[in-house]
Amino acid sequence: MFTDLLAQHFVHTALLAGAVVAVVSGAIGIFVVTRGASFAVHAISELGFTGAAGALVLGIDPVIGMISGSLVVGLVLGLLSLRGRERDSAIGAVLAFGLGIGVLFLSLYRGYATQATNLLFGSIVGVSSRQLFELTIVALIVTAGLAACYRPLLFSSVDPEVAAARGVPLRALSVAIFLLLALTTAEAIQVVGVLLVLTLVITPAAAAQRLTARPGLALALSILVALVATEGGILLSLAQSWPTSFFISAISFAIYIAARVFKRS
Amino acid sequence: MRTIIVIASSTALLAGCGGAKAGSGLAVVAAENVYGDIAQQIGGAHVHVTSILSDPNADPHLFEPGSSNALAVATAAVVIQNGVGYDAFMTKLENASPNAKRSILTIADVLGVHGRNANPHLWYDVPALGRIARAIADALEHADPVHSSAYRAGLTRFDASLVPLRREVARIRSTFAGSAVAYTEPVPGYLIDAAGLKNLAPSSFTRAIEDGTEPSPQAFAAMNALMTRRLVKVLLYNSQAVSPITARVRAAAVHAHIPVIGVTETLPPKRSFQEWQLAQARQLAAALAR
Repeated sequence: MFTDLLAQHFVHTALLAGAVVAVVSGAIGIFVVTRGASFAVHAISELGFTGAAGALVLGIDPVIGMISGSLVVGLVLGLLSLRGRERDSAIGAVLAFGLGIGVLFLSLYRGYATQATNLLFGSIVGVSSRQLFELTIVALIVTAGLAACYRPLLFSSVDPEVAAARGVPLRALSVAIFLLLALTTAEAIQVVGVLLVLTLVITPAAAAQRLTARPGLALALSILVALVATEGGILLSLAQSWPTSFFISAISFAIYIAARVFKRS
Repeated sequence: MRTIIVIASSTALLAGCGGAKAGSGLAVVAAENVYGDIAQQIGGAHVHVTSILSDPNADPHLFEPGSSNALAVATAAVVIQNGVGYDAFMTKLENASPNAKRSILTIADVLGVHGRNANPHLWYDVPALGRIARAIADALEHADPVHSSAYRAGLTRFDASLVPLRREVARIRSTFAGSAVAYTEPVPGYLIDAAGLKNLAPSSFTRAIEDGTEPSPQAFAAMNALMTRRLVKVLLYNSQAVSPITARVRAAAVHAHIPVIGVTETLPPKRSFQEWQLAQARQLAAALAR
């Protein structure tokens, strides 16, 4: 069974798509986690659904709706440019209202919403070559964006007060990082599903931050952990027919726990 | 909101392909076990059928395919799927494993059912079953012309075995045509139409249940009133996708002494498609006669 599977086209596509998602999620995750904005990943992925429901009501492609929905939420969260405790509650408030709108959209839509909302539930074993191509393009855009504003992004994430005092444009950077996160999330959800996006953006970065205080090293470690979890999870799910999402989240979590224990000792 | 991903179990070989060694015969993958059962009956020992949705206790709308499903689709010679969004995961699995030689049969295309508002539970359409079976037999024959005569004979046999079901539906129609019933979800919609019955459940309610969203208070009140005011003779209850709301409607029906019939989307184990549909039609007839 395992060797049969390794010869399959869909397995190769899954491994490649997994690697692309892992690299970009691991990289953006460092900035998200440093800002204490993990909750935003959840909000953006949930509210992509509201965008898709809105697209159904308007009769346009739900995928476009989802991407626009995610970007709008990213923009709102970026503009609010929140700090500390306020950020947590503000994301919660935006999330709750967005979900409410989603429920309204679904009730306004005359037809079976399942037909279209299915689009939002990606599966790593069902990735087409075209989706892999689109995913790679989005990953390149996000990586280029992160590389272009790497220093100021990091500065504003780690120490916003000092960064502001030095004239770093906090609000613009905040909008930029949330838009890049929204783009990553919206594209990756269709391919690998909500659970994996949450896992790969948050957990590897959290583990990496436990292990090192040096930003460059943390970025590399975060990408490495995401890659190990994704590729390892896919291979394990071929050997043992349990869901891939479980294995990937389990490996990430195990590394995270190990990082915490290691750091303490 | 369905953010929690419910993962269904691995594929199960259909009961009844007894003795057939894994891998021998024409590899057929059916997205739903109803079509898998029909293909198995028509193809007999010449086909090796794998059905993906086969658990009558799981909600098909929450299904997520795994690697064994993807492998089955990748190596299949014939794929049978429902279409109209019911099994959108199949399109993903097919696109992930391009194969020009694999033939894909979409039942919705066979019956010309399209559009966002179409009821996807096509296998409840008793008058269309002959066309569905013929399309399946044609697909098997096309992929494996050597056993053509066996598939033709299988089709004739299957068609003949539908007679009791057709007769039962005709009997309901002649006796109870125009009777009011209600369903919690449009699963048996085509059966209700074929039997000449009238569904009074508001679509605002049934669509919300089907989509897994919350029905508005008005929709719930209208549905509940059908029970408490005894405006329907039978409640057809989808026992495969229950929620606290459908459970309350069911309780209201029981309280008002309205007979409740459980219907499922997926073929229960150890039963043939015809036995299952006939049993449900008989229960419906018995409930209407009460």
